[in-house]
Amino acid sequence: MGKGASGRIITGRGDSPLDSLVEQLWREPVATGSVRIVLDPEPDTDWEDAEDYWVVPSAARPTILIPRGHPAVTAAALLSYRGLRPVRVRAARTLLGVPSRFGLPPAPHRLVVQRRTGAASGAFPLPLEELQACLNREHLYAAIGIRLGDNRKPTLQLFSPAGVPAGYAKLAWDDASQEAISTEAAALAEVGGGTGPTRAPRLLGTGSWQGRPYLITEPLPGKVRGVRGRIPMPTPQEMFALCPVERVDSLSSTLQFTALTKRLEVLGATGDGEVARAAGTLASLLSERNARVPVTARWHGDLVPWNTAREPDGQLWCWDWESSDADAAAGLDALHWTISVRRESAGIPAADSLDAALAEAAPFLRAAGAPPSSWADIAAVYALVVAERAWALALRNGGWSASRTSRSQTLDLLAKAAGLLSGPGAPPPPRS
Amino acid sequence: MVTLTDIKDASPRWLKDVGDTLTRSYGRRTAAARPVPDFLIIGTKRGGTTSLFNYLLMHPGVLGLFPQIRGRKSTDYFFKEYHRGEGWYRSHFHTDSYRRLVARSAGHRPVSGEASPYYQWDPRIAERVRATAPDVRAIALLRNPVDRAWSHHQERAANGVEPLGFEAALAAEEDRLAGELDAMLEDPAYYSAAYDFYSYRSRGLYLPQIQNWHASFPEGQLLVLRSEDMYSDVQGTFDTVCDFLGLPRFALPSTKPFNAITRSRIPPNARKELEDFYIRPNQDLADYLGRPLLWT
Repeated sequence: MGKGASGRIITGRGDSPLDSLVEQLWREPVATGSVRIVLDPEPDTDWEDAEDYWVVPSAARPTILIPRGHPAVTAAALLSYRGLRPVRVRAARTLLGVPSRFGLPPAPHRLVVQRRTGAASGAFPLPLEELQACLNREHLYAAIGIRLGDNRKPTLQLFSPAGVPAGYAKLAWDDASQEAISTEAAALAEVGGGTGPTRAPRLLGTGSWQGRPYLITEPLPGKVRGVRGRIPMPTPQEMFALCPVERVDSLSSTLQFTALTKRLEVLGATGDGEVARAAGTLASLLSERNARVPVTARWHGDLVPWNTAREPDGQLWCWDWESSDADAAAGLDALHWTISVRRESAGIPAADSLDAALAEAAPFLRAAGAPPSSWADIAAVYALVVAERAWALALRNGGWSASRTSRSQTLDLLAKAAGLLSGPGAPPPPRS
Repeated sequence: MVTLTDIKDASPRWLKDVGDTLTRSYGRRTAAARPVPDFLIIGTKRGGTTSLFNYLLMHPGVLGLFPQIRGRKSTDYFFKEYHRGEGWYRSHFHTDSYRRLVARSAGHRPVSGEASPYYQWDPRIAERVRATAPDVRAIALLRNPVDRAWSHHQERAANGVEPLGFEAALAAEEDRLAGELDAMLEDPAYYSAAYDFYSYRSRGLYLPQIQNWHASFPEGQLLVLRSEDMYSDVQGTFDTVCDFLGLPRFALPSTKPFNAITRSRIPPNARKELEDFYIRPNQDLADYLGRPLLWT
C-alpha cells in the first residue's frame, strides 16, 4: 500500500483485513459518526487522535497493530512473549522491536482511532477505554491481533505506560465468538488459575462491549516459551491438573456427552443426512455400550502446543479455554493433543491418525484410570467432537470448503470410530 | 580439591554423552574379561534399595558399575535393555584384572552388583537372571506394604506421572494395570510403564514375587530382609548382607539414608483399608518364610 493510502478511512465495510478488524472492534463507535479509523491521517482540526497504532508488518497484510507514541510501549509490544512465537516471527519481532526502543518506526503505516473534536469520551467509549475501566486502570495501551480465520475475534495484549504487560483481552463480535468467550470466561472462573503443576491465566475481569461479552485475563509470565522443540509436552500429571478426575461413571452420565449428542441432533435437523446418519450411528453405539469411564471436572477442549507454554523452571501454563466442556470423559485432551500435532506437523487427518493417537495417548488414559476396554469409547467421543465442530462450522460458513476437517474426512473419522466400537476385535465395554 | 565427580557434574550434556559412548564401547570390547554380577538388590521399590546399594559401595571390597564415575545403581538390563545382549550387560562390570588389583589392597576378591527394584516385580526377570548369572546372590528388602504403597505414590506424584490422589489411585489400579501382565508375558521385550508406575497395592503382595525368585534360584541365593530392620539398625543389617555375600564385615562411615522422601502421613482411611487388605498376604508370607509376622 503506497502513499495513496494516506488519509484513507477504514469503514469496516470493505474486504481488507483492517476493515475486518474495524468491524469486529469499533463497529458501534464508528456507526455513531463520532469516531473514525484512519490510515495515515493528515492533520484535521475536526478530529482528534484517541489511539495511534503502527500497522505491522504492512497495511496490505497486517497481522498486528502495535501501539505508537511511547517507545517503551512500542518495544514491549513487539518484544514481549517472543518465546511463544515461531522462529521466523520471533526474529522479525526482534528486528523491529529493538530499534523501536530508540524511537525508530517499526512499520511504514499508522492506523489511528480518531474522535470528533469536542466529542466527550464518555458518550462514545472506545473498547480500550472499556477495558481500562474494567481493570480500574488510568491508561493502558494495546497490541491488537488481526485475525481473519473462522475463529476470528479481537485480541488485545494490554500494556501499562511503562511497557509492562497488564492483561490479555478477548472481545466477542458475533454469535460464534460470543459463545466461545462465554465458555472461556466460565471455564476460567471455575479453574481459578490453579497453583499446582499446571496454571491458567486468572480471569481479571469480564464485561460487555457492543452488546457482546469480553474477558480479560492476567498476563502470562514474561519468560514463557511455547511447548515445541525441546520444551516437553505436558506430563500426565500436568494434563489432568486443571481437569482432575472426579469420579468413575457411565459415559451417558457425563454432561459433555449429553450436550454433544444434543448439539448433533440439532445439526442433524438442518440437513446433510449422510453426516447426520454417521454421527447418529456412532452416538447410538456409544450410548448402547455406555462404557464406564473416569470423568474429569472438565476438559480443556483445545489443549495443543500452541496454547501451552512453560516458564524457565518448567511451570506449565495453558490458555484459550474457549472450547472447554464441564464433566467430560478423561482422555479427550490427550487425544486432541496427539491428533492436532499430527495434523499440524504432517497434515494427517484425524481418521488416519486415530489408532496411532490412541497408542500415544495410552499413558494418559492409563494415568486417568481408564481401562483399555474403554479407550475405543473415549476415541469415539472425540471423533464426535471433531465431527460436531467441523459440521457446525460448515453450516455457519454455508459450506465445508473453509473447514480444516473436510466433509469426507469427517465421514471417514466417524466410520473409523464406529469400527473401533463394533468391528472385529472391538472390546466389550467396561461396565459400572 | 576438584574431583572427577565434580568435573563430570559440571560437564555439558553432550560431553557426558560422548564419555558414555566411549566408555560403553570400551566396556563392550572387553566384555569377555568382565564377569557377570555377584549380587543383585532386587527390591522392593521404595524399600531402601538405593540406601543399601550405597552402603555397599562404602565397603572397600564392593565395586560399583563401570564406569564408576557415572554413579549408576542399575543397568535396567533385564527389562528395558535385554535386547542389547549379555556383552552389553557385562560391559557394566569391572574386569578381572581390575578386580585382581583391588583384591591386593582389599585382601579378598571384590564383588560387584547392581540394584533394581523392578527385578523382583517383573515375573520374567528371575529366569533371565538365572540364565545370565546362575550364581548370583540376590537381596530382597521388603517394607511394610502399606508404607511402601504410600511412598511409591508420593514418588510417582513427584515424578509427574501421577494425576490421581492416593485413594483414587488405589481404586484405579486394577483398570490401570488391566492387560499389562498378559502383554508382558506375550512380548518378552515389552516394558510396561503402567505395571512399574501404578502398582501401588499389588507390588506389596510379596509372596508371589519371592516364590517366583525361588522358582529360579535356591533359597540360599536369596536373602530376604525387612526394610524396617535396616532403617532402625543400618550397621546390623549391613553386617548380615556382608555375611551373605561372603564379605568381611565393615564399619560404615555413614548410615544416612539415600533417596528418601520427606515423611508425610498416609490418609487414615487408606491406611486402614490397606492394612486390612494385607492381613492375609502378610501372614502367608510369614508362613512361607518361616518367620514371625513381618508387619502387624
